[in-house]
Amino acid sequence: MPQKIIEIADGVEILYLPNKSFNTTYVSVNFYVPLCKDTVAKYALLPEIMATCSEDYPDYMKLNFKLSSLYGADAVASVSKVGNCLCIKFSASSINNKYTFDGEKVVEDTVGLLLDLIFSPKIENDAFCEDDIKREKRKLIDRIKGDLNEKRIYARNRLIAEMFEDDPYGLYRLGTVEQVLSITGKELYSAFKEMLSSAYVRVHIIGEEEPVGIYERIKQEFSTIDRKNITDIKKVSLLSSRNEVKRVEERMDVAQGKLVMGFNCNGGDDDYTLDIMLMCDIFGGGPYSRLFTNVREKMSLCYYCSAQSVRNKGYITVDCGVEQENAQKAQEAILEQLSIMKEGKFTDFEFESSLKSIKDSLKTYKDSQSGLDVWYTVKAVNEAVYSPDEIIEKLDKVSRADVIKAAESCSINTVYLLLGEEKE
Amino acid sequence: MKKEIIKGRFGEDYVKYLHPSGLKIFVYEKPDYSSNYAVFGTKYGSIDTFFSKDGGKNFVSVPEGIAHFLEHKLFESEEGDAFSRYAVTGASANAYTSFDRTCYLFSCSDRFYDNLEILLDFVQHPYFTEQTVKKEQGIIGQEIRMYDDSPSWRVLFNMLQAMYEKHPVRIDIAGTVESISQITDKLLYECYDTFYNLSNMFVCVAGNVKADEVADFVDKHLLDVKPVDIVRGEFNESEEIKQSYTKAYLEVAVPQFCLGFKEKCDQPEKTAQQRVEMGVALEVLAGDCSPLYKRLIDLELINDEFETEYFTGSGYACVMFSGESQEPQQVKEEILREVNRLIDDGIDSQLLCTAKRAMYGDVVRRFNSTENIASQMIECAMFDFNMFDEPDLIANVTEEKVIGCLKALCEEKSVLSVIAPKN
Repeated sequence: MPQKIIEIADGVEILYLPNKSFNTTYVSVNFYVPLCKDTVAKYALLPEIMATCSEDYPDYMKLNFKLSSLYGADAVASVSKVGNCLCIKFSASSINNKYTFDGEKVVEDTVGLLLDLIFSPKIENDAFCEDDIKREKRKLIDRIKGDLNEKRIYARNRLIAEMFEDDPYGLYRLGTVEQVLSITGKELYSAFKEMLSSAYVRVHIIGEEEPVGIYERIKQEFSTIDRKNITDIKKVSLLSSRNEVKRVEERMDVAQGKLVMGFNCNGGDDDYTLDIMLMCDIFGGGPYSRLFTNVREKMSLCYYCSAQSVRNKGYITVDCGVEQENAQKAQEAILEQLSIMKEGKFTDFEFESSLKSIKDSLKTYKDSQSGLDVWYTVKAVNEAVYSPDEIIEKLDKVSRADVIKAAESCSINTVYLLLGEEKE
Repeated sequence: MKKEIIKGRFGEDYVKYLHPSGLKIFVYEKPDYSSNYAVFGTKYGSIDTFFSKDGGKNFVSVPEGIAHFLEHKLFESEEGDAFSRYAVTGASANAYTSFDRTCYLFSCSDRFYDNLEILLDFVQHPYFTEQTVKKEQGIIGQEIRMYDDSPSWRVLFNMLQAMYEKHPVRIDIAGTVESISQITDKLLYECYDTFYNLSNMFVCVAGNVKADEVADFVDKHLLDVKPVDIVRGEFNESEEIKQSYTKAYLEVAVPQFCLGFKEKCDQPEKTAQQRVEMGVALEVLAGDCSPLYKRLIDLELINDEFETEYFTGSGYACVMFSGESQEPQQVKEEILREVNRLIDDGIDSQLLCTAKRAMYGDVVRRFNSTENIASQMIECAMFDFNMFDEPDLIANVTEEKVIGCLKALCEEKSVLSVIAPKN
């Protein structure tokens, strides 16, 4: 049964997940905009500025002080790629009112502040202010550059860029340094306007009670906005297949090489791809998986070797850290494990272990507010949205034969290899 | 078994049991949760390389990285590894080794007692042979190489190596490819028999469980072993730093820094009160409401990666500032200048009050997750404090205490470690 979602304005929906076990109340407001080369950097910079100042708190220090006095509430912004969209998330978490020293309405104050940041930004002459832009540009550029530091993340990003070279999904979610540098205050203001009028908006409220007045406030804010050309988030294109495997090799002065392999697989909603979820886990999920027990444990080829699937885009990745001289061997070993999956030669033990492990971790979702938030943020692109508990029930219907069929749908697409400098 | 109920302030409490073997058991009931989290740990980490198990008569010295190596090997038994046993139950299991502890843990929603049985069983049954030790050297070698490329890891250890001359906190938790090649099955047993004695261990459980049931179950699954009288070797670490600056080059785009201030550590460990005081002091000095933070941001000296930490354990204490900066030296100067200003001019009372309020909020938040609660209980087991005391400890911090903490931050005790881009 789909979750109960209330549409409060055109393309603006609120999902409330009541849960008595948390000491805090969590609210996120998610704007889904099309992922596109010309706007991605603007949409990365915009929320950074919006989360650090507003009309009422023009100075980031005043805002920080306010948040601290709200018992260390946090109001944060982030962007992530979901389906064919970029999701711009503003979230806040507050301790519940009953834990305050004097019974203050800290939940309502925090949520109010979050909505102020979103709907009443600091604007002068139809533009964001130069000081704020300068400060946040510098921090954002450092973050873009910083993703080079951890080579595992860097290598994965590089594979996605190479594999989706003709799909905006291949874009890096923060844009490029050059793009960020060129953004003006006026452009950002247009991007802000565009976001408010055309993004699909999803609000998540997770906690014991709904913050008083939140529905009315959001409704009122959107009543003054001319909503049009609303992003169709359900339209998601799958990874296109290739006639010949694309191979990319890069050299850097690193001690350990990184191998990342990308595969096409059947894609789509949970209704059609739970077999892929299970297949991918048996292949390279937990310590019982084919990759862990064979490539890591038996062959001692890598410290980590695991597979992840992004089912709504129809792809699977495998990544591992390897010594240069073992890179070829590791590739062959990974492909061999995939063949074993296709031939159905995985054991019942592996099948059962994976099923139990997935179900067990799905059950723990409701114990984490941020976990639930991420779950529903990603699932928003699906036609039918299921809770973790509903997925557990559906998983029981996936058979060995389904898993084999899922494996058969996989074909290698791109191989990215990061290697150390060649020794002279 | 001695039982003590620790009453909490959020309408919850937890129970502490002292088993006759010396094992401490902590249980925190979270009846509204579906997840359970359990840890079986020992006060044994990378710093325990020189010790005696007979009350100080004979001391042994073991290779660097052996605690972490032992952690990897303990998952194995003659019949197979513990992961394949957890695979039957669906739990998600893991382990980690840090400077002063090794912890084995699992989280699950179903079959909690089956999982607890696996945990208690494999941690109490070591199985090391020459062949299995050899095989592990390959995998751990890969892990060490992975950390060699990690700037945040390297910048920290370079700082610690420049700060400490003798204390083993200066060595990498996993050791080096060279040091782990000296590890043998015999040495592993030597360490195991010393530190995996129940008198040096703890079990912490948080989740949808009943405390007494957990304690009874643990009791029934413990082996009967004689207590060991562990004496940890002293390292006579000087109060002075070894060198004040260290720089290395890696494939990074933005230079990284770690600035540490060595603090005197005369008793074995800092008390909970001392740690909370330093936490408040760091918030007042460099938290995101502080004048220093504003200055560092406005001068473009730091970015969102800026962090502070009070890094302390058995025989070591160090105040750390880390982050990314084009001018790490200038960051250090600004920090020192602000410390001196606060010592001279005093603390803004509103800032102190707000910092304390935010820290109280963080404590409330922590009780949201069984994982966080379990890690808090490990702290309780390691340092013998009551996690519900923290709000009071925070409330008790005065301006004088904060100033006292800040006095530890002086130039002569500082070490600046920098990782700069190659080329």
